[in-house]
Amino acid sequence: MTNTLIDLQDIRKTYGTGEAQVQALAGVTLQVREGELVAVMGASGSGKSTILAISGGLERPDTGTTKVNGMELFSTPEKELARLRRQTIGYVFQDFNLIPSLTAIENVALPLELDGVTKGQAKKAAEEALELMQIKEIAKRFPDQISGGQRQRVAIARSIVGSRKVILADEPTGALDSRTGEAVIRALRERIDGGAAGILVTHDAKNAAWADRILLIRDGVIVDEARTKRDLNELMKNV
Amino acid sequence: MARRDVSRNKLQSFLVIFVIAMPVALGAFAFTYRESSKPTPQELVQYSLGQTQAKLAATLPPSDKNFQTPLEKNVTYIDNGEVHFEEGDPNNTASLVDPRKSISGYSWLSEAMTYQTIKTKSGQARLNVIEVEAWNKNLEGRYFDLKGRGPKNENEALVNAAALQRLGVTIGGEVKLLDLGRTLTIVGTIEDSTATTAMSEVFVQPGAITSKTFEQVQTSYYAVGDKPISWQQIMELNKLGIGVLSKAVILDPPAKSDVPYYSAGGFDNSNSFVNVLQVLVLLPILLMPVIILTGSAFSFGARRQVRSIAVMSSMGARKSTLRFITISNGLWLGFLGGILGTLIGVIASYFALPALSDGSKIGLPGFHVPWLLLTGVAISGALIGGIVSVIPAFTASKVDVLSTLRGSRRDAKVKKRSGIFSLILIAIGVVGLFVSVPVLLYLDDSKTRTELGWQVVSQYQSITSLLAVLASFITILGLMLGSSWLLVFARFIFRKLGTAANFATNDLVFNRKRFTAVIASVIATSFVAAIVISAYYTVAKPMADYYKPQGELNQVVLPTDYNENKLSSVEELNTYINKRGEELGQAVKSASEVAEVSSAGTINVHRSFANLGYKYYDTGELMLGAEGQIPFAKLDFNYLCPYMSASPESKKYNEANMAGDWKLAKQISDQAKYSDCYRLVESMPSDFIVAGPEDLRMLLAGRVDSNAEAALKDGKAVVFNKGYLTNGKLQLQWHPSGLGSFSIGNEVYDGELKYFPAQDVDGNLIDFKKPSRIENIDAVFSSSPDQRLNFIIPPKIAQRLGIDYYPMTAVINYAQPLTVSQKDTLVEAFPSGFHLEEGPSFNLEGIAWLLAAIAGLFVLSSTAIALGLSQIESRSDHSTLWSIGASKLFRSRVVSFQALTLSLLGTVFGSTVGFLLVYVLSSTLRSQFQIPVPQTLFLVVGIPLLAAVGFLVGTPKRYKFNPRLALD
Repeated sequence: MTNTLIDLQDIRKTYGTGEAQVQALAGVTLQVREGELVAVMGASGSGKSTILAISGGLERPDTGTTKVNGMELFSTPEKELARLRRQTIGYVFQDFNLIPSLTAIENVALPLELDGVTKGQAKKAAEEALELMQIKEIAKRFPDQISGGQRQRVAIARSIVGSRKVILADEPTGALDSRTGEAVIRALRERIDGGAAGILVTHDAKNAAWADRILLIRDGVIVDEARTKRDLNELMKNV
Repeated sequence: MARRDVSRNKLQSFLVIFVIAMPVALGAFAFTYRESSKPTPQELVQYSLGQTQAKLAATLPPSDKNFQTPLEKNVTYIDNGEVHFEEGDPNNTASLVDPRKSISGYSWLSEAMTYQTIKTKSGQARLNVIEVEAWNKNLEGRYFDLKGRGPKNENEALVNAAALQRLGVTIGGEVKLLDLGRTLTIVGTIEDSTATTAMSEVFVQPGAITSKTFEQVQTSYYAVGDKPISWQQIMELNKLGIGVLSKAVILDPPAKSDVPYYSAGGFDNSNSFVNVLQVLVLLPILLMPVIILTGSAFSFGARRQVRSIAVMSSMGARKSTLRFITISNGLWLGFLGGILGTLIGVIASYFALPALSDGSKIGLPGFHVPWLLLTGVAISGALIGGIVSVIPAFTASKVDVLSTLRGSRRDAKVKKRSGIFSLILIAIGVVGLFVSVPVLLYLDDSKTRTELGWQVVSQYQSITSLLAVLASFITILGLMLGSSWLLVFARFIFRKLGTAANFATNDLVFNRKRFTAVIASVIATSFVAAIVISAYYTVAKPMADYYKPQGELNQVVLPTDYNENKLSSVEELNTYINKRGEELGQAVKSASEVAEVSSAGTINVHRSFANLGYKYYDTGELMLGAEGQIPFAKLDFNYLCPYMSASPESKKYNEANMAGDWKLAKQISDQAKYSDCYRLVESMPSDFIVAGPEDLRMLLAGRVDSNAEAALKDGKAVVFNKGYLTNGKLQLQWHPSGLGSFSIGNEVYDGELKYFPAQDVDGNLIDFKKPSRIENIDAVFSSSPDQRLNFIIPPKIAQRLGIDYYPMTAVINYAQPLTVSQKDTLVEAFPSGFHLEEGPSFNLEGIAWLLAAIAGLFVLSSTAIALGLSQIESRSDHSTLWSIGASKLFRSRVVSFQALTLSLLGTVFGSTVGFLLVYVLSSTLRSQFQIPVPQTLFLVVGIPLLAAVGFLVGTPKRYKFNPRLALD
């Protein structure tokens, strides 16, 4: 029996007030087990990224519970939450969120350094992650000196560096060509298969096909789920 | 677009508006304060003259060289361009002219002021008693708020509210004039437009006091009538030595060309070369922090707009359009800042004016808002906004469209060229500052003054000072331009201090465009703050040093020499001694009831009563030694005031030399051994205290000097000036009574002590080198400000040496400063006079701390604003740090370290240049450069630490996740 690493129960989330109020999630329940990759698909504004943000402890739900690696995120003190983000959760942001004043390798090594890992060890682990993403040659370049695709891969390398058990990826191949994108997804899949769990937010059915389960979300509610290629084809008709 | 930008970015826009509003508010406050403190012509007439035509006073003998200015009553004698403020023509012995006889057609109301000792509620005090018909209708306005009625005879009086309270009476009550032995009945109250709230005044009929005392007091006369007194008439009256303040002239003053006071050489403070220079020097100094801070705020705004500008540029917008966007934003924010600042300044002045005023009607005649001027001030806010947005506008219009849209934020490398250029500027500035020093010293030299003339030297000094200020500006500019290199330097030093420090300094260098503005702001404000603090301290410290306390703080000091000049026999002396003891005991008791005392008691003194009855020869010379041989303390000749007595150094340090050479005066005041020399010369150390350790502690107001107390216990003496100490001993020499001690036992130099050698009462020549008796007493030194305390010998030594002593003085140490009412009581307890040591009239360190606090507040505000703006720009990076699990501690350490580094660099370099400038200018201030150390440390180190702590505490625990992103 594998562990449930991500456990969302009846999550509801509303943004804004009055007329500008938007219900992002309207009772989402989701469990992701160790070794499982779940893809979330849906139209823009459907609440995909909100699921990721809540799973990563970046956003608080209005109601519902969120457990990551057995820890209830929003009753956990901020200090513990920060440690969870450093040690357990790897987050790939849609717009990369790299620190512009740090080189690629420094960006990747940063979570480990923040966690007290020695500079040398952090650097070594960062090199491995960059190698996995096939971008070792740009290790000493700053984010503005590399292409969008390379930035994307640096961001993914940062999310998988160390021994993260939960990987949350928001359109990780959005800036990549199809071949590189596939390589990146393959690397993510391998990491998941190595004992992690992940949620992949994507618009791309090819990427989604790497997942064990694919969820379709609409107006903040999971409306469909696919577990086979046939299911996926059916599901894609509803996207 | 500008207005929309403001409303969309409320917090950031508010900060920019606030930066502009702050100096505008200060300006609006200052202008409103100045305007409100200055009476309008109508108010000046009302509060100075009431309903009369003029006020006249004769102060000088008649002369064609007497002049006055239109709005001041004082007449001044000006001879050949030389203004004699105090006295008139020294050769003119003519009598003063009665103003009433010099002009006809008026009836007259006189006004004369006397001072009388009056019994108050708690004791007695010297108060103003003014002989004037204050209740007369013609003086309505000059005196106001009459309650009751005017005095009908010379034994009735009006008082103002302050006096009513101090005297502790009500209308119908009585007050006693103690000197005159008279009683006045209070028949009402009235207020004086020129009196402060603290001034107690009594108003009586003209002549009610002076007709009895025949006291000569200056009398002014109010002219009552319909005929105005013109400026032409005033000029004629001036020639009679009469000064006039006229209603007609106040309401319609003459042109400056019609005022002979100025053409005769009177000081014209409205058209002075020095004034112009002062404005030229002060204005840039005061405006620099404002412009830098505002400029940095606009650079921030422009950077914030850069993406919009890049998008517009990509759509084909012209550069002029792009520049217009930033400039219009600046004008709009500046306009809002100007309006807000003006309103804040006016409202603040409305509430602060009463507290800042002295309470008199003429000191704060009304709340006058200079609307026209303030409109200019408000518009200047918009102009500042527009001007300081020009450079950011040009920078923004040159934006690299592609890289901006791609999201590239990387700045170019720190250019060596900018570093070299800044080094050149710093070198020019520092060399300029240091070159100014010898030039100013040369100009300050008395020879140069003689050769070039005082006025030429003064102008050269002003020009050199201006150049020194310019040099300091160049240095500051160099530092600002080189601030990128300062950040590189900081990274080199601090990057090894751990991940947070490394991250912080890396970020500082990488995003230096954000952070150089912070350093520049702190440099600018610290520069001004350092100038203010050190200039104040340089000027005020010598004044405080000059203050010589006469006792411990809050200690009552009594003279030791009461009444003995009335004694002519031993019997009278013994009676006096007994009576004196009783009087002192009673006085101590009374004084102890005034307020809480920490210690009090009578003190025994050996007093020689030399020349009992002051016997003189027929020739009028004092009869020395009439009382025989008395003990004097030997004084080390080196401790005599070198400029007051004959000494080897007297020629170098004489008063004439020191008057022309302030540095020479400083040199002598710096020598500890001369610090109390005037006391030693003036006092006769044949008086000394005979006391034990308990009395010593009382004399020192509870201060414990264990060494001195132990010495007294051991039968040793305690001296309060090292001049009495020779090889660890106090030497008492017995000489004929009546001698000045300063010559005893020492050589007479160059015959300057011309009245020696002297003869004793028997006609024998006195040999100063051969005292009749010598006693050496082991002694230690103790420090005391009390000038009565030459030295103390313990009672058992006095008894062994046959020295008699009696209770001759007393000590009362109060726990707290006394109120006015308590001092009145004290006056009653010690009618023969006393000194209450209250310390210097101004609190040097307190004011320095106040200035440091105000300066610190400005530095801290500018640091907080500039760094706050930069942190807004850094928000996305901090948010990223948070999202990847950086703890609050780490993030706050990063920001705090940046705050510390930036503000420390700014305060160290800014204040160094500020201090350097004051050091250079101190020679023109004729004062030794001084820095208040704790206040400076507070400014240079404390403020950066405070800023660091502020940002450490203020770092958010978590960041708000971008909902727009989350909704995807």
